[in-house]
Amino acid sequence: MSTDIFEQVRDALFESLYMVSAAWAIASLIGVPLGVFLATSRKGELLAARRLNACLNLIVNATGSTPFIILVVALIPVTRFIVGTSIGATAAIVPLSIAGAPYIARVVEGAIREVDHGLIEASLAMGGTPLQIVRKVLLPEALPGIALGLTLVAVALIAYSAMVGAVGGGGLGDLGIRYGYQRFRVDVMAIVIMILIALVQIVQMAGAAIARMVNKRVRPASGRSGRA
Amino acid sequence: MSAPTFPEASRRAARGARPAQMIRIEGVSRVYPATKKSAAVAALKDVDIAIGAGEIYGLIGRSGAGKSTLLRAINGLERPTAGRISVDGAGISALDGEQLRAARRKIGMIFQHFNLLSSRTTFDNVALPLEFAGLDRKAIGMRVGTLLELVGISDKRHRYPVELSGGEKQRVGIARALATEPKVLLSDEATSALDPDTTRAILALLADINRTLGVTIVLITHEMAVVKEICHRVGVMEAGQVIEEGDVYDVVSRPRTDIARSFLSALSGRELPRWLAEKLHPDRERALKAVLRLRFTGEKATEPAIARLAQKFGADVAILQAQVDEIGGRPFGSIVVAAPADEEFDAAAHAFLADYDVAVERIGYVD
Repeated sequence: MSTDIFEQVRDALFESLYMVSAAWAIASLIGVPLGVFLATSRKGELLAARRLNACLNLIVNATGSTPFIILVVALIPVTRFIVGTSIGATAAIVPLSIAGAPYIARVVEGAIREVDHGLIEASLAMGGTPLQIVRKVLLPEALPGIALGLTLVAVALIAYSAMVGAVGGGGLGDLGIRYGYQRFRVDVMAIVIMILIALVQIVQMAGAAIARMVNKRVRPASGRSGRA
Repeated sequence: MSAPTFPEASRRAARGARPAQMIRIEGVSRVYPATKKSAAVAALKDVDIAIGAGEIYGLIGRSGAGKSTLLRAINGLERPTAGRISVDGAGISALDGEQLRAARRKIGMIFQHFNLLSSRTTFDNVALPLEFAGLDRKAIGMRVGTLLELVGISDKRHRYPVELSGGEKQRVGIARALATEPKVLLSDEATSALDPDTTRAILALLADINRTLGVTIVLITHEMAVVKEICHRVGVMEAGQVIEEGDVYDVVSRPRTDIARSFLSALSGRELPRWLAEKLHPDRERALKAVLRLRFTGEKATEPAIARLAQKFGADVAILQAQVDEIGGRPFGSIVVAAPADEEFDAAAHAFLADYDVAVERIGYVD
């Protein structure tokens, strides 16, 4: 009986990891370029395109302001069209990605806009094309902020993935509801909660470490740098 | 059937009064259109400047005078609303897209706050314009090595900007600006964030680059000391216009406008001492003494003109403040004296001092 539960927990964990990492990757693929474009298409910026910027802003805001659980239900036809079913971990990736992408876009937009405008001016003066400047200047300079933002979204996706459990999405959330809630298995609920906390903790620490590693704005501590 | 040669003419051209023009700014205006919050602002009004190849040209003015806008118009970061600008024959103000970028690679720029990429090492910062230009890794490596040598920071090539001092950062900025072998270097208050010693070292480096590479330098500054240190010619800007222009020596030794004079007085010691400034008044009738500022220029700056003046007219001339300075090895002096207030003496002294190339300016009277 207990090995059975153990196996279920393990499978649910892997399902959760699968959902979150796939959704996170897809959301990043959409969100990062979208965020860069949102930041650079504003009036007077490198890729200025006011109308398109306004349109995308509207879409991002609309997606961002829809409660996630509503989004999941509303997207059922889309999910069916893409995956073939609206039940299970793979199906859950669709709403998770669509909820994550605008979130990532906003975070990336913020990080890019934080980059000192003097760097853009200097790059233009050096004869850089807008795309070169995005690739070689804006993205590398915004990387610490982007890394922290992607971490934030990964954590949010872990929480969301537990929520899709409520509508048959599989994973730890699903397990928690079926056993912990519907069958009054407090022990299963406790294990699920502890695993989720540990997961968030690990992602958070890894993200912070990466952000620190790519941040060259802070002088390395003299002990670690090894070059006095 | 070779073309006839005119040795005399070509020699005259070679040592002509003005070298070939590198930058031409003709009738340039820049008006920022009115917005909801503010009325239209004319940042530049009909500016004409010609800068010769190999020259170091200084633009001095208060903040908001338009010097930054003018500098940015030279590499097309600002678009003039009227007039035209050409650099080395290319009409910058008319170029666009790839042509503009190609022209910009021939114009380096350095900044007050350096504008280095924090995510790149010294080496990679200097490599950036070469990457923009599409050079391959090997060519970039060689070029960057030479540049770091030139500005004297080869030992910092793998450091990030955060690990560098202000002077070192500006050296990286200069190396980066020179990477694409530009003919023109624009300097936007490049020493304003640096301490006096570092400022002098950076200015010396710029002068050196000008001499050895023949790069034309246009710099903007609000410090006359910078102009005095390395510029050949200077333009004084106020309210979007160039109100005074000329060789640095002429402008510094004989400023024609109040603005130029006020910049000069900001040079150490040129301001009137407070005790004197407080006693000054414009009323000749009740005055005992006139306070004159004498400006000595040229070869005769070192002659004892005042002693001779006192001797010749038997007048009491008291020196209140004095300074002798030099620009490009040519001495000039500024002396404030108290002299008899009567008009006779005034006229005679003027004539006498003119022989010594001394310009006399009456500042006021004291009791």
